[in-house]
Amino acid sequence: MRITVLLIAVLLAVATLAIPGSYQPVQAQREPIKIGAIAPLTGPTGVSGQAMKKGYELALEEVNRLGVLGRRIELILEDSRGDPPTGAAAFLKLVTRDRVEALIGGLQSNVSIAVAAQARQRPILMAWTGAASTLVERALADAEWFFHYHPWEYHNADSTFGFIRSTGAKTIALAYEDGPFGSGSADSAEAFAKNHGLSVIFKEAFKSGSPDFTPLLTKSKAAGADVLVWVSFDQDVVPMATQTRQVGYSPRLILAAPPSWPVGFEKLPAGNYVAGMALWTAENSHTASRQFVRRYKEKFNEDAASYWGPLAYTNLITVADAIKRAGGTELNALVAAMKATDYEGPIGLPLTFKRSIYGKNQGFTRLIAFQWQNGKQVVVWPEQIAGGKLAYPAPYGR
Amino acid sequence: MLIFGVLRSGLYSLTSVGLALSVGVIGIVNFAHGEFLMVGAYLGYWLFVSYGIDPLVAIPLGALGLFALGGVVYRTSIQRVLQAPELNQMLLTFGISIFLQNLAIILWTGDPRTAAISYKAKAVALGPFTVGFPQLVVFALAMALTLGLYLVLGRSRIGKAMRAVAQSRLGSSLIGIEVDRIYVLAFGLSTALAGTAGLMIALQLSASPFIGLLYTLKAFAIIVIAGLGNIHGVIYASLVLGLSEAFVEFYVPQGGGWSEGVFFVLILAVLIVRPRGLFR
Repeated sequence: MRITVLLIAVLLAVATLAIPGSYQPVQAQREPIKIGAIAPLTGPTGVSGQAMKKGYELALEEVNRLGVLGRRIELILEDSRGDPPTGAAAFLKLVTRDRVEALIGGLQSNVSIAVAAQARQRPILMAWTGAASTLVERALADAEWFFHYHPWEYHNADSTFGFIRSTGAKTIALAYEDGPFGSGSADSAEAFAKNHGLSVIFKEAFKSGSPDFTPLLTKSKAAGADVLVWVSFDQDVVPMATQTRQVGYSPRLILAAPPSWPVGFEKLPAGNYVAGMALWTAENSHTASRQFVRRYKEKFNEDAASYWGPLAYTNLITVADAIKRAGGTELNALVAAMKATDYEGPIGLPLTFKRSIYGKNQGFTRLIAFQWQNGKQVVVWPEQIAGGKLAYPAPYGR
Repeated sequence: MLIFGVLRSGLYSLTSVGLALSVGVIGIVNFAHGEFLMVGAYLGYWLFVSYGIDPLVAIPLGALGLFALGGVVYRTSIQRVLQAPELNQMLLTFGISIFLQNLAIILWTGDPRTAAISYKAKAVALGPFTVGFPQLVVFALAMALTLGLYLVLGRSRIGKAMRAVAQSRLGSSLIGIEVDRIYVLAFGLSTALAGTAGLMIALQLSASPFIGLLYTLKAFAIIVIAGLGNIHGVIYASLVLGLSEAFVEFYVPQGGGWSEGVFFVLILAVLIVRPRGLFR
């Protein structure tokens, strides 16, 4: 009888282990470590926010496979909708009601400013993925607990002109949308260009959303610069690409810098050989990047197109690792552990936190350059992670 | 610049003629006109990406679809505020505009979507000049549709009925014209024209939930310059706006940044100097 009971007990235990999801490791019995995240899951930047969500899901799966200090990570993701008051309310909810032990996420400078105002009153480890405006950097200049992953706008400019210098170009025509995004970049462009031995010989603003840039492009063509730098939103790169061909404008290189690219741009013949700057592209040849792209495709049955996916993945992985190294979530220990971060993941560049112009803990400081080649964003700079060769002079209409 | 300005006016004319119709016949100031254009642009994108249908070929289907949408919108909302104060009418169309824009964000996200049509960047030689082929096509289409509409209004029974209703709703109903049917027809036609302009945007540019406002503003500038409800004046007013913008952008330093200011200056000048429009 006792043997029968024992046999049944063993069989039940084996059966329990065999049913997927029914296995509960010891760590799951303990209280999870709560991490809050804020991202725009809906609204105009919802596509990037959804990519972040998927990056977090991949990271969470990986982290919880072994657990952190014998505990699970519970991620509470709030939708900022790309709206500053909603972002600030999400922060308050996460910190006061959910009582999260660290805050991750972040996209858009205006939302980050609103969250920063709340965070100054309730300090918490804030491992922030995105905001390029130095207004955010200045707002949290003295915050030891603020860790910023995305490059600031001056890093973007420095990378852009560094890449242009590497092509051998000497002169630049700069066309920029006349809102805060384009003007902010244009204001410092001449100084950055000069630092890299380049000269801006044509500089003109335009209205984002205009259907016709032919007068501007005709003027730019007459200036005869080696490179056309086009600072605009997504919607403006299509008329730029098509109308440069229509007016017969073939600079040695067109470098566009929209926050993201229009869906379908990869199939646009006129978009071929247009270059761009990004933190990461799916064509990145780094091993960790390739693994990320493969896992993303397997799990979500779609291609990882936005750098916000791997950036969010890096964000959660590094915070979980810091908690592990800190032995808990006590703020000072966690800050010290974050400062000691040295991680090379899917972004393909090493991540350490160093001082920036105003901030105390800056992560990535460089963008990579890619060129659209037959529908793919082929990484062409820096050389160590390049997956292909830059077509220069680019054969636009030639 | 003259050619660029003239070609640009094609898209403006196509966008504005529908608005002129709804203002002229129904007397409704439709702030959602640009959003009907946006729906047309998405329709053009979707038909191309899903079924490979060129936006030019999709014009009959798209126009029909938008005509039906216009009819539904009229019956369910516009019809109910025709006797209401103008402010209520404007608020209603403003609400429709916000609704359609947010619906587009939910359905397709805020990302612009471009249809990779093979001849999108094609240029053709016109004597010593080179011009964009899609722009040339849009200009020709806009002229044909605007003149066609002008002929329909001038020569056909239905067109004459529309003009009669535009002059007097009461008088038209007294002589047996079914005013409400004319209104549905006019509003449907107006949205069909906006949808056609949207298809042409899919041909040249990209579809995005936010494109409507800019075209609504330009269309308002054009119908004010033309004289409210003046259909054939729309062609001339579009030329004035297109040429002014092109010349300012090319000849004025930092002119690209001034281009949106051009139509506000034109509206202001016309309202002060000749409030009934330049071409009336």
